[in-house]
Formats: sequence, C-alpha cells, structure tokens
Amino acid sequence: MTLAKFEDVIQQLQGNDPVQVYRALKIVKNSIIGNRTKKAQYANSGIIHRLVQLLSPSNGVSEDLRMQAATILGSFAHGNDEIVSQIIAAGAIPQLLNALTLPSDTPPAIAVEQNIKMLEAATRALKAIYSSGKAYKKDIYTSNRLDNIMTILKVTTAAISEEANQASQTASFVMIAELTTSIIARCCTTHEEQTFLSQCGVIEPLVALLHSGYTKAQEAALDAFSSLCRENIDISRASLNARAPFGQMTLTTMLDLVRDKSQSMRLAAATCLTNIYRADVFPEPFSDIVLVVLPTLIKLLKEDNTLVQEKAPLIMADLVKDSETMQKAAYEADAIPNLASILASVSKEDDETNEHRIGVQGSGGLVASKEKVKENCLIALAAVCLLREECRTQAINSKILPYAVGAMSSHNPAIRLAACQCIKSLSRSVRHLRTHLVDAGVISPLLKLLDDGSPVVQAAACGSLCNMILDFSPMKKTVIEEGGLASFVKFTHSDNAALKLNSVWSLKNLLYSADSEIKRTVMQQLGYDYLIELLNDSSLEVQEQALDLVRNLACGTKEDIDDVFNGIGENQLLDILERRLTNSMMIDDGGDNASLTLEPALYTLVNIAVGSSQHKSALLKRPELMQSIVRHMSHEKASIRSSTAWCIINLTWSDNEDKVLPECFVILKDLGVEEKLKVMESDPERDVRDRARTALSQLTSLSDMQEV
Amino acid sequence: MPIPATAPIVLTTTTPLPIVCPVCRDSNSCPKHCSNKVFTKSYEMVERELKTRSSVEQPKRAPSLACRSEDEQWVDISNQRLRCTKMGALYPGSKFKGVQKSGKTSYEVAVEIQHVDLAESCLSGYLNIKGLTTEFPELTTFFEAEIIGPKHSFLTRKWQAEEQFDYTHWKRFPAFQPYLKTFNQDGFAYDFYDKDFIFMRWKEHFLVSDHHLRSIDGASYDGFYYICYQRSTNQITGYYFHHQSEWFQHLTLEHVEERSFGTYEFR
Repeated sequence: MTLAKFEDVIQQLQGNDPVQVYRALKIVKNSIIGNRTKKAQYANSGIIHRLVQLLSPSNGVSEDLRMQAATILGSFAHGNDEIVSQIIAAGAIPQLLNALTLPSDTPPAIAVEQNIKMLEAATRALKAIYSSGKAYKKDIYTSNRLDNIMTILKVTTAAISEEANQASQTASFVMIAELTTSIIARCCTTHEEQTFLSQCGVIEPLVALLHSGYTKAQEAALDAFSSLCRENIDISRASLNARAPFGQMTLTTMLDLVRDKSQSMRLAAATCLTNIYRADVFPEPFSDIVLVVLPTLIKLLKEDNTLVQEKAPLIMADLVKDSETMQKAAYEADAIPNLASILASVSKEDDETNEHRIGVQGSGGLVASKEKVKENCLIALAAVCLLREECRTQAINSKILPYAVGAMSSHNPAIRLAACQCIKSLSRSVRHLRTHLVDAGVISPLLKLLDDGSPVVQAAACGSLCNMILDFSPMKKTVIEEGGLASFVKFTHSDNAALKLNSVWSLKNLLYSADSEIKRTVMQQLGYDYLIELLNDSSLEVQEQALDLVRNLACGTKEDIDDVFNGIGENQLLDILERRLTNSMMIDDGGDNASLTLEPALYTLVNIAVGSSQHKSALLKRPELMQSIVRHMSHEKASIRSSTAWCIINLTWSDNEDKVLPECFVILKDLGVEEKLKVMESDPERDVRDRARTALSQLTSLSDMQEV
Repeated sequence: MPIPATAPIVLTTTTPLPIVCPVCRDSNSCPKHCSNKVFTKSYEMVERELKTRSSVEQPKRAPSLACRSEDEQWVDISNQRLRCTKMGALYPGSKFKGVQKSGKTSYEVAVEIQHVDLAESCLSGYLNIKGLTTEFPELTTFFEAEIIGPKHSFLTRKWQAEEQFDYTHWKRFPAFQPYLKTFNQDGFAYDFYDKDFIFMRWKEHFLVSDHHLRSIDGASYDGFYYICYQRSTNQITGYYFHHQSEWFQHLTLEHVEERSFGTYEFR
C-alpha cells in the first residue's frame, strides 16, 4: 500500500465508493493510534461528521464500515476532551447507542455472538466519550437503548461464567461486559437512574462480573456499584447482600478487593465501599471501614501512580467529611501527617511560574496533575479537620499552614478554593485563631480573595472570615479596618446564594458580644430596611442568620433593644418574630427547617424581655406571640424548652431597677404558664428543669404579691 | 496560674500527701486495689453521645466530592454544623468571678468562657488574675478544659499528674466521694450529662496578650486546675496542681448572672 496524502484520505473518506472509504478508514485508524498530533490534525479536518454519518444504518453502509467508523471514533475520544466535544456535537452518542441494537428475531445470546465486533467497537467508543465530563448522559435511558445494554451485559456475563466456551470468544465477552459496565457506571448519576437500573436487574450481572476474576471487569463492576450505591441505602443493602455464585457475600468480596495487589483495584474497591458507607448501611463505627478501607486509602496516597494520587485524597475526604467517628479514625491512622507530607512535596518545587510543562501520557500533564493532587490534599485536610480539635492541632503541627496560605494565592481557582476550605476548618478553634493562624498571616490573602474573580472562591473566603471576626479572634480588628466589613455588607446583596449566606453569617458573628458602637456602625452600613428584607429572605438559612444577627443586636443594654425597636419598628419586628413562632408550629412534623428559625426567634424574645417595662409590655400585649411561646414550652427540643423558660424568667424578673409589670401575672396565669412550668420541672433534661424551677419560683412570688 | 510563693517554695499541704499508696493498710480507701462494681457506659449514655452532634437536626448531607463534575465547585464540603453547645452556666460568653487563695493571700480571678463543645467534652476560655506580679498587675491566660466523662477520665495520665495526685486532688471535692473507689477502674466513665456536678481539668496554654511569651518572672502556668462546677448553684471550685508550686491553691468562683444571650457559630 502506498502512503496516501492527508488530503487524499479526507477526500476518499467523503466519497461514495465503499472500497475507497474502507481504505481511507484503515489509514486514518492506523495513523491516529497514539499520535496526538495526527489526531488533532484529522479531527480538525472535519472527518468526525463523516464518521458519525457512516455509523447510521439507514445509509446502507456495510456492517464492516460501520464497525471501522465506531472504532475510529473511540480512538479519537481517548484522552482528549476537545475532540470529545466535537464528537458529541456531531451527534455520535445516539448513533453509537443505536449500533448496540440487536436483531429481534434472533435469540440474544446468538445475536451478541454474531455482532461481537460491532458491539466491542461501539461500547469502547461510548466508554471513552462518557469518560469525559462534557458528555450528556441521559441518552441511554430513552427508547429501548437500555434494554439493549442490559441484554448485552447479561449475555456476556453469563457467557463468561459458563465453563464451556471458546477461549477465543471469552476475551471479547469479557471486554464487552467490562465496557458496558463502565457505560452504566458513568451514566448513573441520579437517584431515579439508580432505581431504574436496579429494577432492570443490573445487580445480578454486576455481582457475577465482580466475582469473575477478570481484573478490568472487576474494576468496572466496582465502578458501577459505586455509582449505583451512592447515597442510596436500598441499593447499597441489596448489593451487599447479593451473593456470588459460590455463596460469598458481595461485601466480603469487596473487602478482599480493597486488599488486591493492583492499585487501581484497591482504589476502585475503596471508592465503592466509601459510597456504600456514606449511604448509612453500616452501623457506626464499622470496623472494616476503619481497619481496611481507611488505611488502604492512606497507603494509596503515597503510590507512584498519578491517577491514584489524584483520586485517593478525594475519596478519603468523602469517607470522613460527614462523620466525626471517621475523622477520629483518620487521626488515629495518621492520615493527617501523610496528607501533609504530600502537600509539602507538591508545593515545594511548585513555584508555579518556574515549572517546565512536561506532558505526561494519558493525563493532563505533570503540572495539571500536581495541581490536582494539591487541591485534593487540601480538600482532604479540610475534611479531616472539620469537627475535631485534635485533628486541627495535628495538621498545624504537621506544618501545613505555610502551604495552605501559599495556596490561597495560586493561579488556579480550584486550589484557592480548596485552600480556603482548609483554612476554614483549621479556624474553627479559639486556640488556633489566637496563635498559629495569626502567626501564619492568613488574613491578608483571605481579604484579597474577597475580590476574587470566582464567586465560589469569594464565598469560601468569606466563610473563613466568619471565624476570623469572632470576638476572641485577634484578627477581628484587622478585618474590619481593612475593609472586610464593607465587603460583607456588599455581599449581603449578592445573587450568589452561598456568598450571601456567608456574608450575613459574618455580620452575625461580628456582632456577637459587640459593643453599641460597633452595632451602630454595622447597622449604618447594612441599613435596617435591608435587614428586614433579609429577615424575610426566601432562604431559611439566610433568615436564620439574620434572626441571630437581630438576637445579637438586642443582646446587651436597654439602649441596644431601643435601637432595634426603632430601627426595624416595634410592630414589624414582633410581627416577624411571631410569624417564626407560629410558622414553625404548622410545619413542625420533624422537619428541621422550621426549627432553624425558631430558636433564634425565641432567644431574640429572651433578649427583648430583659429590657425596660416598655419592652416587656410590647411582648405581653401580644396574645398570639405569648401563646406561641407557651406552646413551645413543650417543644421536643430541649434547647427550645429552655429558651421559653428564659422568656418567663425575664418577664417575671424584678430587682431594684426593674419591676414586674402589674398585668404580667394575670396574663401568664391565663395562658397556663404555671401548669406548663410544673411539667417542665420533671423534664428529662437537667437544664430545662433548673430553668423551669427558677421561673416557677419567680412566678410564685408574683402570685404572693397579687394576693397581698 | 499558680500564685507564686512569697517564701521559697515549700510543700505546705494541709493534708499529708499519700505518696505511698494506702492500699496496703486500708483497702477500702485505696483507689487502686479495692474491688468494687465497675460501672460501664449505660445505654442512655451511648445514645446521648451519639445525640450530641451527629444525629440531631443536621441539614441534609452534602453529596460526595468524588462525583462532582469537572467544572462544579462547592463552597462547603460538608453541611454539618458546629453549633455552640451549653450546659448550665457553661456557655460561650459566660463569666465567673472569685478568688484564688494561697495561705492567707488571695487574688481576684475572673473567668470568661469562650467556646463549649459538649460533643467533644471540652470548653475553652480566659482566666484573668489580678495583682500577681508588679510587672503584670493583671494577667490573662487562655485555657482549655477537659470535661470528665466518656472522653476524659478522672485519671489525668499527663502533665506530671500521677494517679495518687489525681486521687488527693479529686478527693477534696465532696461531690467526688461516691467515686473514690471506682474512678480509676477500667470501664468507668462519669456520665456528666445529667449530673449536678461537672468535673473538669483546666489547662492554661498561653498568655492572651502575647502567645509567644513563654515565661514571666514570678508567674507560671505550667500546671493545671482540678475543677468542680455545680450546676444548681453555678459555683466553681478548683485546686491548682503543679509539682513546683504550692499545693492545693484554692479557686472559688461565682457565676456572673446574665439574662440575655448572644450567639455565634463557627462556619
């Protein structure tokens, strides 16, 4: 065969002569394998559309040509996101899925065998395309495509499991089973899809594949279980309890695979079990997760395998981020020093300007990969340090602060974001705020990030600053002086929900234990009118923070309460509070959301009830409000019951300065407060009992006074 | 912080220090050798431990990080919240005032609690002491408290506090009497949650004014306090312990009552 010129090949490909087209296809296929330049060159010549066209059976194209076209598309799609976008844009996905259609008049097993080459080419191309984040993943669920996929999966896995089959075919069956499973793994993203796939009977062939002994197919099965079980307790249970043909539980097999000799198998199995763990199927603490999965992930961090290094910290983050028990286990297994040393190693030579950009085959290049490792290590550290002080201390002692601070100035927004998350976790501590965090100079990069180009980074920086502006933080003053306050106020108007929430949160924290002067400064900038808007925000979380902000404003002197009454307007304020109390009763069927605003509203009332006769009287003359307070005296949450007792204590308080209002006793008596308090005296929670006792004794002395 | 001895430091203990364990003589009072029923964690206690943070009204869990799409970025990796917790007068912002006595001299002490995390059985705050040295008429240290319970035992096992020292200090609190024989047994855990008396260890870590300053003439904070807080009276009593300080310096604090409450929450 003579070497054809590039242009000639393109031309032949576009022609109608099947022989020439076939020849051209062969040339393209051979020249693009492993050759990035050639790939890009051909892709840019517009042949992708032609390939997709050739796939369509309606054009009377021979099976062989179609198969070649699918193979080449698969080759193009490998490891190049840009070309994948072109392939998707050309409409390849539906055509490739259609290529999986089996003739209805032939038994499935025979049909698969007859079409084996085509199926292999098409599934390989689909897997490559679906590996890209850019692909639209819903097509497999339309018309009868999923039926085809399930048939192929079932036939191939059954064929592998059967003893008597031809060795030559087995390799192809294993391949197709693996590829089909990978497609399912990548296209299963929602709860509905999980349920649907499981109803189609996907678990049984996956279990068979998991026990097949073919490494790649087993990995694919683990990937699919990861997707199916993610946040899905029912499917997680069903998968774990499924048994292998020889009777072993799937869970046991998965745990065995966590100890496999192949790194990628270990990672796949650990990922799968992490997802199953996160679905809450195991009783906590589940020793196999702590003793097998977690240590495996820690060891994988250090493996000399780029992909594993990139992914392992993120899986670890998933494993620990929502569980205090797991964070403790990670601490005890030395996850933190390990993460710290990797962070150090990818940070050290990483003067990002100085880096020579060497491409590494198959991944996004050395620099990109290092950045991914850095980002994910920062995220993992953020996750491990979320809840426990000993973890934070260990992380700081492992010297991560300089790298985390440096990472806040990265050119890569994902790294800046991860650094903010890490700093945020570390700053959930009075001790560290007062010492290491000040010393590390976290403030000025954080303040700079408030003006970041990415709103997500801005919001994360604002989140960290929420902790820096607390009363006991030595950095509070700097943040206010360096324009932090102005930024927080500005962000309360943001369209970005996270940024808005964090900015209101910062103001709330800033007003904790603040003097009247700071309160006035903040309110001059924020404005009472806008505060009212925030109190009625569409997001309950914003409402909660805004209410807490009012609670902090009203906490202090009578003048502080006056300021709030005048600023918001007495009636408007009490209307809002009353609504929070009554709303929460209507939807109080275990929904956490309602009580989100209930406690801040009640404590705002507690703080108002401390005030002058005028403040007290404002509450007492609102029967609805008073009734709601009394009704919440039997709320299921102890902290709510406690706050209602404080309301009564403050309303009935009297000393040299303050006298109880004359109408108080009758109002409380008519509301049945005394009876309620008597019940609360035998509350299961000591704090509630103690508060109720105080309230009751004050009420009794009021009653004595009435009788006199 | 210990009050520096005006005279050269001598151990002026009012009760003799049982350096020799009295086991051999009186098995009833020996914490180490007497056999008694060992209290194990009650079912309710375990339940409560679980309740303190995890299962109680946490918002919907944030999804897994590994399944984010490439251009998807999250502000928060977890929705779990770290709300301030409280127990009696142990709440953020709570203040206590009183004195620390050493022999005939006494010094004004003020304590302000900054953070309480019952799920972790710990709290932290500032301890202010007046008139200790002429150079520093007022000193404020940051301290962390371990609340004795399922996470922290009566046995200190650090800070140079051997079991016999634990014993002699805890013993001084009348409320500790019921646990004299059991406090050091395996499996014993004090269920503080519903008790009137809360035992703690307060350990000072650094000076609030300058955390780099490691030592001050005439004052040190190398030891720690054995603390007992009573919820029904809101009183705190404590004994300072350090090898080289005068023993049993006595701390008594009263709660400064407040009836309005601000709030903050770590993000």
